[in-house]
Amino acid sequence: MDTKRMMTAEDMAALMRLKANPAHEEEMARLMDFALEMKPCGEHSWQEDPPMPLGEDMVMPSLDRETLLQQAPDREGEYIRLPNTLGAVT
Amino acid sequence: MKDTRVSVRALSAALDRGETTSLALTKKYLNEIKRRDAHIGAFLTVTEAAALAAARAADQRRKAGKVHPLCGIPMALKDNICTKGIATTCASRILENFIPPYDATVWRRLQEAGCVLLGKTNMDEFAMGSSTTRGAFGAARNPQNTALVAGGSSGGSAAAVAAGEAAFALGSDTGGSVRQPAAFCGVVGLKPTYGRVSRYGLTAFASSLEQVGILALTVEDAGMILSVIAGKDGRDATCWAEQGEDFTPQEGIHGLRVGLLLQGDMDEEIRQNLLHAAQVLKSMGAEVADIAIPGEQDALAAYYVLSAAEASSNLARYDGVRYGRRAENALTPEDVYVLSREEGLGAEVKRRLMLGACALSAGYHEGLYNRAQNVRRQVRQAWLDAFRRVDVVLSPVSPVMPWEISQGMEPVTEYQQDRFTVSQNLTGLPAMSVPFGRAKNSLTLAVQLTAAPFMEKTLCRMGRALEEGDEA
Repeated sequence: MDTKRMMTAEDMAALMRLKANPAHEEEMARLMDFALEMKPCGEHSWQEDPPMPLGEDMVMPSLDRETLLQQAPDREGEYIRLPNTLGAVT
Repeated sequence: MKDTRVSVRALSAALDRGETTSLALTKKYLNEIKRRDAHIGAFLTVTEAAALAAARAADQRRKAGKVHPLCGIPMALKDNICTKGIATTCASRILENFIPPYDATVWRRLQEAGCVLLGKTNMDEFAMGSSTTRGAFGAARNPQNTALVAGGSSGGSAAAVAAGEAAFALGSDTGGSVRQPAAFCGVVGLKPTYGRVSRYGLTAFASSLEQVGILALTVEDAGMILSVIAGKDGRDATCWAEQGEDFTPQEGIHGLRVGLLLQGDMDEEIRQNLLHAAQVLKSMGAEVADIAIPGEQDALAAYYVLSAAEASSNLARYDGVRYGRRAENALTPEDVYVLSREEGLGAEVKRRLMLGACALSAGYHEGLYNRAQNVRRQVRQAWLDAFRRVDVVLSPVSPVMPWEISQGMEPVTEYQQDRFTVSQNLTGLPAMSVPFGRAKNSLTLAVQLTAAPFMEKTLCRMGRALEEGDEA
């Protein structure tokens, strides 16, 4: 089965919350050809490797709500405003 | 001091001797930006008033007592590094009005040392590109020849340093984005080991691949700056190397083992230059031998799959809700997300997000994402095996010379120009681009040095030797 053709560019755009564009089909086909140039390798799976070392978790102060809301494109008090899901109520 | 293309070391010494002040230096650099940047496009934001205030403060600190060598040095930051109160756009329309409420750790540390911020530099949008022509606010041009690309994605930072518009700059390197523009513009570009420098405040593109990097005029400068920005940070659990290490390059390379990596196609001038660099290092006492890295030929595709997959997750936050651009004619929440992203994100970013979404989807995950991770594992092991036999690997930075901006490049063709730099990101190894040699068209050439994990000192030592051996 040709898996690279199962998902269309429209599907990929929808997943990424982008608008579908017919020009994307050919472009994404080329990108998929490029991405699939990798040959399968080895018997070990990367999932068997130990995770990379990380520093200890440290509790650090965060930003306050007002600071975080300052950049919101549309806000009402302590809330971010979005259009109604079902359209305006009349 | 007539010229602004002066090393940080020399500027620092001049400040210490009282031959100049940070205020005078800062004015000189700001004048240079005004004189040249309209033709170069290195800067997106110039912070003149803040720079002059910081310069005055640095001069006061110096009068009051001993200061850090970087105190009062004018510098620049790539526009994906958060600066509190100063626009940070990532060269994207979706963040054109974004002003971070906090400083990146790397910037906070440079401020504590007394550095003066001249402004934020141009880049490819969200660091996705190799030319700095894919940003939303115009291209950066190569100061050596303004018809040519500066390289990318940290092209603005490289161009600023090369043009004498900043004494040094920070960039970010996810697949070569510090090293390649450094090579194209004729400056030093250092990508530290993954985990050496905090990524807190670096706008995320591909979190397992990227590092903040340094663009400077000399290897010694790059080492000096790394000493300041490197080290453990409680806000980035992946950054756990100790602070306070000194990366001043030591003299001499006698007995150091160099592996010459010449796999893959490249311009003949670049190949010959690399061979000449190997000869020079041999004449200076290094042991040089050819090496090969198995699996390298698959690294490029693996890099693009993994970086796209991580980007698809990291960039999901840009949806017009909490910050950034929101589309005006959105009638539903879904409209807010889709229209804001459609208007705000450029074509290259969209391509990579779609590829990333696909790579993580059921039916593709095994063939793309898992396969790429296994390639990554194999490539990392091959490089670590190589470092049992050599101390440093010498290889090309780019297979081609900078191309003309007007020529453009088809996306996959542009991706293929990264084939000599992506492995260092896949493997987390430290690497440096050092100017070496000159092409027939007078452009500077460059070579790449890669060392074992956390061996930046060896990198700087070898880089310094190349600087000394460069007759160009």
